[in-house]
Amino acid sequence: MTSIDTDETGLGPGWVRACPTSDIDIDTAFIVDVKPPVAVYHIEDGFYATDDTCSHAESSLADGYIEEGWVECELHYAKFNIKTGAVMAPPANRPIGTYPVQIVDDIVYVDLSEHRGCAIAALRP
Amino acid sequence: MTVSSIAIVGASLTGTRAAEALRSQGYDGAIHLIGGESHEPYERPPLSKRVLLESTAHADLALRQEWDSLALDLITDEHVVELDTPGRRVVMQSGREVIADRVLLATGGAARDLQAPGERLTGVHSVRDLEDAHALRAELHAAENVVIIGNGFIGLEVAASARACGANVTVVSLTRIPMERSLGARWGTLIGRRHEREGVVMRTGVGIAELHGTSRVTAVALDDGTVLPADLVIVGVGMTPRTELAEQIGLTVAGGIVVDALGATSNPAIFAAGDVAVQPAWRGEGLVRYESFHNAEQQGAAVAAAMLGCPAPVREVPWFWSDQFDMNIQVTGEVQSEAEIILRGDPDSDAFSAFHVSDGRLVGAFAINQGRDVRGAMSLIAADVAVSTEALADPSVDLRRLARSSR
Ligand SMILES: Cc1cc2nc3c(=O)[nH]c(=O)nc-3n(C[C@H](O)[C@H](O)[C@H](O)COP(=O)(O)OP(=O)(O)OC[C@H]3O[C@@H](n4cnc5c(N)ncnc54)[C@H](O)[C@@H]3O)c2cc1C
Ligand code: FES
Repeated sequence: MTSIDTDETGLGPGWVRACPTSDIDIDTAFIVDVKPPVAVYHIEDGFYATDDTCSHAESSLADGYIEEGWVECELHYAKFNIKTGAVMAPPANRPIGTYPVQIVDDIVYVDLSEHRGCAIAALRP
Repeated sequence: MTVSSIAIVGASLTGTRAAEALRSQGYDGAIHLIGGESHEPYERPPLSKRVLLESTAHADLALRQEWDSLALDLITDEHVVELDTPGRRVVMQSGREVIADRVLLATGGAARDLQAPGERLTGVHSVRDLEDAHALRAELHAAENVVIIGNGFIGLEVAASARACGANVTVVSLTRIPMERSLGARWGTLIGRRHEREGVVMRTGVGIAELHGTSRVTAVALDDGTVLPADLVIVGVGMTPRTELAEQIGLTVAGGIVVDALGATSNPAIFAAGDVAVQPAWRGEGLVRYESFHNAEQQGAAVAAAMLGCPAPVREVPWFWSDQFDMNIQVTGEVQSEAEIILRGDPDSDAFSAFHVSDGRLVGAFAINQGRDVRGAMSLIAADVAVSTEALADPSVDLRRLARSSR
């Protein structure tokens, strides 16, 4: 289990190792097993991270369909912008949080302390 | 005629989507969104599911987080009681009125009455709005014997919620196959079996004689003589479209307000969309009332374009979902015919999908916990291209990418 208090990665507290870049094909996502889970996406212009849990009814967004920088939840087809977390299609009514990502030596790292945007983590403890 | 004021009667999904689409089409005139409920617009699907199990605030269900950017006149808790078409007046119960060049009727429907003696006893519920769901929730958690009347999607969703609360649940229905209207015989039967596996007793092909009880319901008497003990009864026998206003002004009504594919009625200033509307079927002949979230959104957007005289958005393939137990059930297109069905996965397992093929083309899809496949199928059906049965059966083929590459 990753902890966000210690500086295990050497990148600063909050940074956790997600996976090697080669583990995530283009237009797919990887789930970082933290609470709440985080999805790391590989899209055309790089790697991005958001909350994995759909803000509508708790489905995993990493299982969703990814195209042109958005992810569509497979349960009721809410759509989110992967870079901003903004809702692009209902039935979700709240954005999802996003996180900074860094690549060091072909490994993807995510900064869990830098949760940006609407905090579903706070709403759903 | 230039349109400078639009009234939308019914502030729910269709009305909200229409208002949003009016703005995104560039319309900057007045929009009066008038709703009979005391809440701002919210989504109904959780009412038969999450709202019954957890305490859910209205804000969680709100269709929008903020309204200011739409710059509209949102009027809640007001019933429109009269449309004076020559005077363009939309008159509300309180006497308040607005003037409108175009009126959209997005009045949805009301839960249909059972029409059996005893249906007004306490402990007898239906689920159409947030108050209904809260009232049912208040009693559901203590209920021992729950009888659900009707095996359509709302009946089955409530059955699953009631089982999750630990009650003994019996579903009684005249129709033999659950959810047959939306799922067809094969998949409806499969869903019925899943309910039995979860401990729901399914009594099909039998009607209700009466509900017993003095002030509170105590039992349900079936017309085959069986008496089922019940401390809670939920009536889920469909909905009656709210067509009063349309009838008042002489619009054509046939099981809903009859409209064309864009929501136009026989009066050029009046439009209708969503659950209240009967429209040309997506494919083939005939008029259909689609009762789904997706239709409300689609038709809400299409009718906005029609009211402004803008080109209509492309009509999407019909899609519907229902969540029951741990099943996310999805269906798209036509799944009524059993002509050729290609399976992807095992129908006895927790997740699989099925594709209905006609003349080498995909016409419909059904899935449990495989929403991705249904989404892909929607694109393939829309593209109307020949699809190989091997690709459909192969779980490693992403159907949406296939549809994209065939464009
Ligand atoms: C319990 C439940 C569960 C559902 N689950 C699903 C699901 O899982 N999947 C799915 O695809 N669909 C589902 N649906 C269907 C979906 O919610 C409806 O298709 C959708 O709500 C239709 O939207 P609408 O705006 O056309 O009508 P409604 O949502 O019915 O709204 C009509 C509104 O008009 C108002 N109104 C009526 N008359 C007047 C008047 N004269 N003056 C002012 N206001 C008026 C009403 O008060 C109401 O607020 C479900 C529906 C219910 C009830
Ligand atoms: S859970 Fe994601 S759209 Fe409903």
